[in-house]
Amino acid sequence: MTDLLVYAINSIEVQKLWKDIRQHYSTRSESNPVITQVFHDTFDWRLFQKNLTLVREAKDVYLAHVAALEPWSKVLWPKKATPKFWWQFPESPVKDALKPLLDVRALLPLVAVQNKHRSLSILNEDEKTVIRIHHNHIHIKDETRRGQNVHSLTLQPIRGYTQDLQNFRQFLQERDVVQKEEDLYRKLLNSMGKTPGDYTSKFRLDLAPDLSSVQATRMILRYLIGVITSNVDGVKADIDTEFLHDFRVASRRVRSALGQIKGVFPDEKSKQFRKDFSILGKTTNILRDLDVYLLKQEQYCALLPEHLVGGLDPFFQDISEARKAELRNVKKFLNSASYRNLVSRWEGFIDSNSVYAVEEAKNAQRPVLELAQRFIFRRYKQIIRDGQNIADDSPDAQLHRLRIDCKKLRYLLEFFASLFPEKDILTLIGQLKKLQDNLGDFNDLFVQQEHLREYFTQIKKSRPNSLLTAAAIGGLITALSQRQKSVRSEFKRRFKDFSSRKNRAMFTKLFQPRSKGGPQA
Amino acid sequence: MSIIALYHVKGGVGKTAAAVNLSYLASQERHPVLLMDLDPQGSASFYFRVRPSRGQQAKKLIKGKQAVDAGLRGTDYDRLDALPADMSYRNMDIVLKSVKKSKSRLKDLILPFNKEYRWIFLDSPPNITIVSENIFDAADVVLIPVIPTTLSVIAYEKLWSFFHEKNLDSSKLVAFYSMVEQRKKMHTEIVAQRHPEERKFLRTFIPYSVDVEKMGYHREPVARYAPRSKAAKAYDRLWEELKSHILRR
Repeated sequence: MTDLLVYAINSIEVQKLWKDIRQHYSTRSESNPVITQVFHDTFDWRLFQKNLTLVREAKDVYLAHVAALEPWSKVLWPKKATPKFWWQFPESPVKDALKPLLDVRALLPLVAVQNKHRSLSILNEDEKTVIRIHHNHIHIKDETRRGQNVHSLTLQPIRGYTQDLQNFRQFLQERDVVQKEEDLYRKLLNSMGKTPGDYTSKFRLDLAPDLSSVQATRMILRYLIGVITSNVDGVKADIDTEFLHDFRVASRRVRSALGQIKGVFPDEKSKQFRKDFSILGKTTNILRDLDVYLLKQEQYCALLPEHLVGGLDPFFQDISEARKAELRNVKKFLNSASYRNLVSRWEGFIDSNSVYAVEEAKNAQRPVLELAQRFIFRRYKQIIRDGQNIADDSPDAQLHRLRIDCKKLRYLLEFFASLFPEKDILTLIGQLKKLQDNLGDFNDLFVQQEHLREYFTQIKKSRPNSLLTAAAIGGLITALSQRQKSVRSEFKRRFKDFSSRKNRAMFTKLFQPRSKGGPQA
Repeated sequence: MSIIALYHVKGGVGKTAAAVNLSYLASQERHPVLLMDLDPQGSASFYFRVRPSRGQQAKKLIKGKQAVDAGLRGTDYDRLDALPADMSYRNMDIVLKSVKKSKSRLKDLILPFNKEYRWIFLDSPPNITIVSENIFDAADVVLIPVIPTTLSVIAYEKLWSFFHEKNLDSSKLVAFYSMVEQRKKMHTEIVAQRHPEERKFLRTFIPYSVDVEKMGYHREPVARYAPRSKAAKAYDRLWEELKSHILRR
C-alpha cells in the first residue's frame, strides 16, 4: 500500500470537513459497523521496535504497521482467547513473521478500543476513485465511565493520481487541517498510560564521562533495580520465561557491578548487598533450569532417532510437574516480607541522599571514565593471559573460570558503553560474544549431561516404557557429549579470533589508562 | 509472483471479462495484483475506469520498469493496480521487431515487479503476433476462454499445434468454457466432452449471462454489482480452481 497521510482532527472538525468535501467533490461514501480491536505486543515491545502491532479484531488476528493500523497480513482465529505465543498460530504469513520477532516472548493485550470507520472516495469525471479518505472514531475503554475518544483522518493516495492528491491536500490546508506528528498507535497507548518502547532487556544507560564514579554506579544500580522490579509481576503471573530470565540477568549484573566497580562504596556495604542479590539468584536457579529444559524440548527431540523420541515424554512431564512446584516456591519468595525488605534496603542504598552517601570510599569521587577504563582493561588483560594458557587438554575448570571472567568483562563493557564510541564498543562486544557463546555452550552441555545422568539413575523400572525412556536419555547424553567435544575443539579458534592483533589494538586504544596514579582497588 | 495471461486468437469470447473478474477476486485475498491491459482496444482499462496516460506508451513500455511504474494506476479496489492500454499498442509489433531479443522483452519487463505483486494478469490482444509470442513466453499460465462451438474448439486445437511447432511449453495452456448457453444442445454436448489428460480444461465454466454483459454499464467486476448472480459465483469457482491448478503445478 502507498504511504498514508494521517491528520489530527477532532469530532466537530471532522463533521464539518466531511460536509465540505461532499459539497466540493463528487464522492462515494462507505460506512462500517463498529468493531472492537485489541492491540498486542510483548513486554519488551518487540513488534513496536519494527513499527508493528498485533491486532485482534472479531475472528481475525492481524499484523499492522503502527502508522496507519492497516492490516497487511491476516489470519483467521475463531477462538475467544488470542494466541499468546507464535507457535500457537495456524500456519500463515503472520506466524512466519512472528516467529523470529517474538521468539519465546508472549503477546500481551495493551489496549482495547471500539473503532468506527467510514470512508469517502473522491471521484473523477469517470466516477473513478482518485483519493480515499478514512475517518476513524476510536473509543478507548478505560477506568473512567465515559472513556476517551480519538479521531483520526487518513488520506489513502491512489497510485497514478498524484495531481488529484496534491489538489486535495491544498484543499485541506486551506481549511487548516494539518498533518499529525505523533502516530495514532502511540496516542492510543499514551491514553492508557503506556509508553511504547519503554522496556528493553538490553542494558541502555547514558553516562557523562566526568560524572563521579559513585554517581555513575548509583545510576547503573538504579537502572538495574528498575529492571528487576518491573519483571516481578510477569514472573508471578508466569506470562513467559523471559520475565524470570531478565530478572535474573539484572540481579547478576547488580552483583557484578558491586563486585567489579571497586572502591566506590564502603566495602562492607558492597559485600552485604552482593549477598542479597545472590539470594535472588539462588532462589530462582532451579526454576530457570527447568524453563531451559522445556525450551529445549524441540531441540532434544531433533537429536534423537524418531523411534526414541517418545521416550522423552516422561522426562518432560516430570520437568513440567517440577516446574509447577518450583514456580510456587518462587512466587512465595517474591510475595514474602523478606523480599520486600531486600527491595527497600537496596532502594535506600542507591538513593544518593541516604546515609551511605556520607561514607565516602577511595574511588567514589574519581571521574567514571577513568575508572571504567582501568577496570575494563585490567579484566581484558587477565582474560588474554588466562586464555592463552588453555590447551586442548586443560581441565574444564579453567574454561569455566574464563567463562565467568568473560561475562564480567561483558557486563563492564555494557555498563560503560555510552562513554566510548558506539561502533567500537559494538564491535568488541560482538567479538566477545562469539567467544562467550563457545564457552557458554560448553558449560551448558556439561550441566545438561549432569542433569540427564542424574535423571537416568532415578528412572523407575516400574514405570511404563521405562526402557524406552532410559534409551532416549542415554541417546541424548551421547549426542550432547559429542557436541560438547566439538564445542571444545572450537575454543582455540574462537579465542584466537578474540585475541587477534586488531582486537588488542582496539582494547588498548580505548581502555589503556593514560594517567599515572590512577584509581586503586 | 505468478503471471496469468488471458488469450484468444479472436475477440468476443469473454477474455477481458475473465481478466477483470479474476484479477478483482485475486485482489480480495490480501495480496497485491496487477492487471496489464495489452489489448489496444483497452476494454479492461475501460471496465476499471482508468484512462491511459498520454504519449507513445508502446515505446515506453519496452524501456523498462520505471516507464511502466509511471503508467500504473490504482483501481477503485485496494491492492489492485492496472496498467491501462492505449492505441499505440497497435504498433507494438513494429516496436518489438526493432529491438533485440524481441520475443522475451515482455518477460524482462515484468520480472522486476516480482516483489510488488503476487499475481499479474495480462489481457492479451487477439491474433498471433510477436506480442502474443512475448505473452506466451512471459506467462506461467495462458488461460484460454473457449466458447463451446466447433470452430472455437478447433481454434484452441490450432493454438496447441502452434505451441508444439514453436517448441513452447504447452503445459502452460489452460482452457475453460466461456459464454456457455445451457439451453443450446451443442453447448452442453461440447462441455460434456472429455479431453485428453495433457490438454488442461478447467471443470468450471462461465455461463452466458446478461450480468456479465452489464459490466460495460456498471464498469465494475460482476461481484461488485451482482454478487449473488450465477456469473459471479462461476468466476469465484473458476478462480479457486485456477489457483489450485497453479499451486499444484
